[in-house]
Amino acid sequence: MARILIADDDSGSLKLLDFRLKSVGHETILAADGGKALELATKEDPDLIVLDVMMPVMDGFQVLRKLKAREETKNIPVIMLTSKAQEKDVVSGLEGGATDYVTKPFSFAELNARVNRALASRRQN
Amino acid sequence: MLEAIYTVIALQIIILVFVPYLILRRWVVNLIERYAETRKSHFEPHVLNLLNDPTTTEPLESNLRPGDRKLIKDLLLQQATQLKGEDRRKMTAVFEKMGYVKNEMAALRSRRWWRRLEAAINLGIMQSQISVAALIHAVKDPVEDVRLAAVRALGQLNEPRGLQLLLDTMEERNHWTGSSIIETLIGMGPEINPEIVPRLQATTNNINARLLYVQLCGLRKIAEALEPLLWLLRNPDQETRISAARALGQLGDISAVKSLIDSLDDKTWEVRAQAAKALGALGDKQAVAKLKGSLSDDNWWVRHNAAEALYRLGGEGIEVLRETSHLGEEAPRNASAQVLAERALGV
Repeated sequence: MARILIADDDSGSLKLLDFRLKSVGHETILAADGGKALELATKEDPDLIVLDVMMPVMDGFQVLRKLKAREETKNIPVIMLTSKAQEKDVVSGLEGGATDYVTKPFSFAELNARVNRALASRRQN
Repeated sequence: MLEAIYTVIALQIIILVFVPYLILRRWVVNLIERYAETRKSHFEPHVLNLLNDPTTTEPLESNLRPGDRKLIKDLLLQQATQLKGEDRRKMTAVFEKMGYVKNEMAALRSRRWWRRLEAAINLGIMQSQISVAALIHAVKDPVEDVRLAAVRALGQLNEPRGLQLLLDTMEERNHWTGSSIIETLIGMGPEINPEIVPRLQATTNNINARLLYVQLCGLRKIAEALEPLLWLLRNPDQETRISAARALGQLGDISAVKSLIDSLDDKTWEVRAQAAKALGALGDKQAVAKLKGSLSDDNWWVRHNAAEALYRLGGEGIEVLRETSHLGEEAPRNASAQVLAERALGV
């Protein structure tokens, strides 16, 4: 289906997202910190990025800013993962160019729907 | 001289005994950790697979070694805390099927209070309705931490009796405890909202409880709380007015704009600062003129929040900032210029 880069420093969360997205047919690329996420986004050209906010090396907002500033990555849709839907995180993410957000703990049905919507929108564009 | 020799000998004995002990201890701990990691890697795929089919618990129940059951429980709990909705319900079914819920219910009767505490916390994560009665009983535990954990667990179960207990506990305890209960309440479904607004309105004499309810209404964006919050914006207590302004910004209802504009003249700078921030969040351009005036406020935070709000309002608001950053008095000029510079840098 699609190549999705998942960036999360929590190994449990990373494995869970990896498992769930693979179970619906996607190919996944994994990153455990912001620096690695940026490197892989540039190198692997994923169709979509699922990006946690709190990460070491570089947090999700910094990664998002850099992705949107680069020609090769600015059009990749990004779904932010935030804890407890802190309003400022959501606003920062969306203002920074994120396509959508999902709060933790997450419902996979909701995440999957948002992933599909973002991918469909990218195909149309 | 003799003392020096004895000291050297004693030191050498310490080094010869203690250092090997430390090295051996480290080696044993590493071995245990590696073993635990190996077992964890063995069980993790099966734990993940439960999300596809919660009946496939056989790999997690057969050929177990000592310590495996606890490890599996920890993996299941870790997974459950990351999920909600249908996946979370699958995990609850697994906890019940594998006997973990019954184990934790039994642990609520342990003589060790820390085990009872752990059991109450785990039952909150497991979210099994079977444990309700045991948790209600645990609300009478002699140890306060256990009582609080049991109340929280009932809240996580969306159990109506639990909600009442949770709200009562929030009102009766100190602010720190109340704030930690709010964390639980934020995660609960919309069915609890009808309980909260009447309690907010009833907090006439209890300022601490009032502040917690105002905070809760804002964080949960309870639409029905609009009128009470607007009324509280005129309360004689400044902490109440500050909290009400913050909550109205979080609520997102533009009917609050006029009242918040009036609050930009409040005698307390924290209220003015929160009102400015809330107006930025609400996004109604009728606030632009008054926010422009707030750029000249005596207080730095008010000026900064007003400038931020103007930026968030876009178009006209940004124009005001650009004009003010070049002309006029120093304070509004600096506030405008700072926000424009921060936004340009992406800060």
